[in-house]
Amino acid sequence: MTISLPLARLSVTELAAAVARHEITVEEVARVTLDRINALDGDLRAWVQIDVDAVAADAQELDTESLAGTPRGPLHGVPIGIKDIYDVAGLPTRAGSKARAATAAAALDSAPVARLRAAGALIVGKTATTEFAAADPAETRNPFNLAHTPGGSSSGSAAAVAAGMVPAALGSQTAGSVLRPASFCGVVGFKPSFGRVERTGVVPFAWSLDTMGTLTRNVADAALLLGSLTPPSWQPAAVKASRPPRIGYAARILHQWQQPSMREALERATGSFARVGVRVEEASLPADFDTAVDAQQLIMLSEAATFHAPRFMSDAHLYGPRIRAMIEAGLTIPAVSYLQAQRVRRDLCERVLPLFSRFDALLVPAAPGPAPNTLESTGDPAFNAPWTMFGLPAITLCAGLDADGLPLGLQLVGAPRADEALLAVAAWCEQALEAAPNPPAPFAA
Amino acid sequence: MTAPQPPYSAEQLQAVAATILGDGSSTALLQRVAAAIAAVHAYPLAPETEPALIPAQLPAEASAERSRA
Repeated sequence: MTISLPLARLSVTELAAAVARHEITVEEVARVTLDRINALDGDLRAWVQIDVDAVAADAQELDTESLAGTPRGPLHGVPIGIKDIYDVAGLPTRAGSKARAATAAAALDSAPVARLRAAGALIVGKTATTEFAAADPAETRNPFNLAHTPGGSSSGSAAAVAAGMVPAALGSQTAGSVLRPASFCGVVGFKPSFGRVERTGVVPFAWSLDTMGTLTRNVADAALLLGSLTPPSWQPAAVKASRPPRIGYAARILHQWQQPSMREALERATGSFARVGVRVEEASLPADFDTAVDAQQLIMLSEAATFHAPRFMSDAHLYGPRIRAMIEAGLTIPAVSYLQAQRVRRDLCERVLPLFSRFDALLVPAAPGPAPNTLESTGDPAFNAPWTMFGLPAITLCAGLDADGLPLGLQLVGAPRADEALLAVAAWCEQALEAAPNPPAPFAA
Repeated sequence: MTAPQPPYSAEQLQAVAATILGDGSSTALLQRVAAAIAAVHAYPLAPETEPALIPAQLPAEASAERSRA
């Protein structure tokens, strides 16, 4: 190995370049990755399944292709973690649930995993999820403070990226399951537009909300992954802004739930943005915007109860207490209220969209505050749920650390299907912020 | 008997849960759901507003590309 930086600090882009230049073999990447996971995961608990032999065989195959001069794609040799609701061929998809403890190994990769593999990714294994991507926490801890939640439901993916075990991981978001753990763990969480990435082979939670997402350490890596995950018929545009972006700061959103440290972090961020030419103005959300949180909750619970009902009626004892309560509550929601929530969804979305004629993106907190000091809850997704419900692309960037050294994330929301434009805005803003923070030892990358 | 109209109380939802589940439901979450139901039914909507339902999905072309038996 001739690369000078420790492998754990390399981004997706840097690592792929090092492999392409033959500065490191994929087998070396695999060995260093597995060694770091072995050394740290006893405390962090970000991983639930790794088939070491399969990783070694895949690495060898990728090296063979490298030597033949036929790399697969832009992720050739890059190790990536997969949230355990995505099928990965050869591994059972347990979705963090005892109800799926005896499930057989998947015969096929899920569509997103197949796309990553086709782009050359080295699939390392499964990262921990809350039960069925809902609210019963995984065992994962926050690398910035092991007593704090890493957030959820993409708990293991966020923690693994923050701790430098892998430079990228897949997550998924139904309310705030990518952006909130990204905020708590100080990494970049990106949720593309609803429907942008196909979900075949992914365990659902709520069909009209579930969206694939990525956890990385910078915006360029999120863009690279999006390109690799996108169907050939929807080729990504260039992720480059031609002028400084205009951002609408919705400072009053869910104001009563914002903690002072989060408000201060966003105020500081807006000042930093101005220094790189970003124009930040106040954005007013529609009256009754808070009803979006209610509507999202009713839609999510109704759909989750519908999906789980057949198994739940016979195997309720295998479900954790939080998802059990969610399914029970979802079963009680009348059809008229579910449809009313879907009408509110449409109306509120139509009233928010005109803001994007004035702004390239909206700025809001990614969470109420830093990661809560508990492992019994994964925190509150209220700041993410409305945007997920509207199907809009959204991204978390780290806006700094609080007085206790915990990350605070800001959230940028883009116009419908303007994924690349949002990434361009985020890349511009990223220049004004400090690089993704390193957690303390031993998790510092 | 007239069916209850929205919004519903947590007690009414509890009764529904008991009917479905046989043994009643826990749940503090029902209070939250009752409040959410009240909120969406109180939201001012034009009569012609249609529900969003499930947005269009991309063609499942990637399914054919799933790999690795």
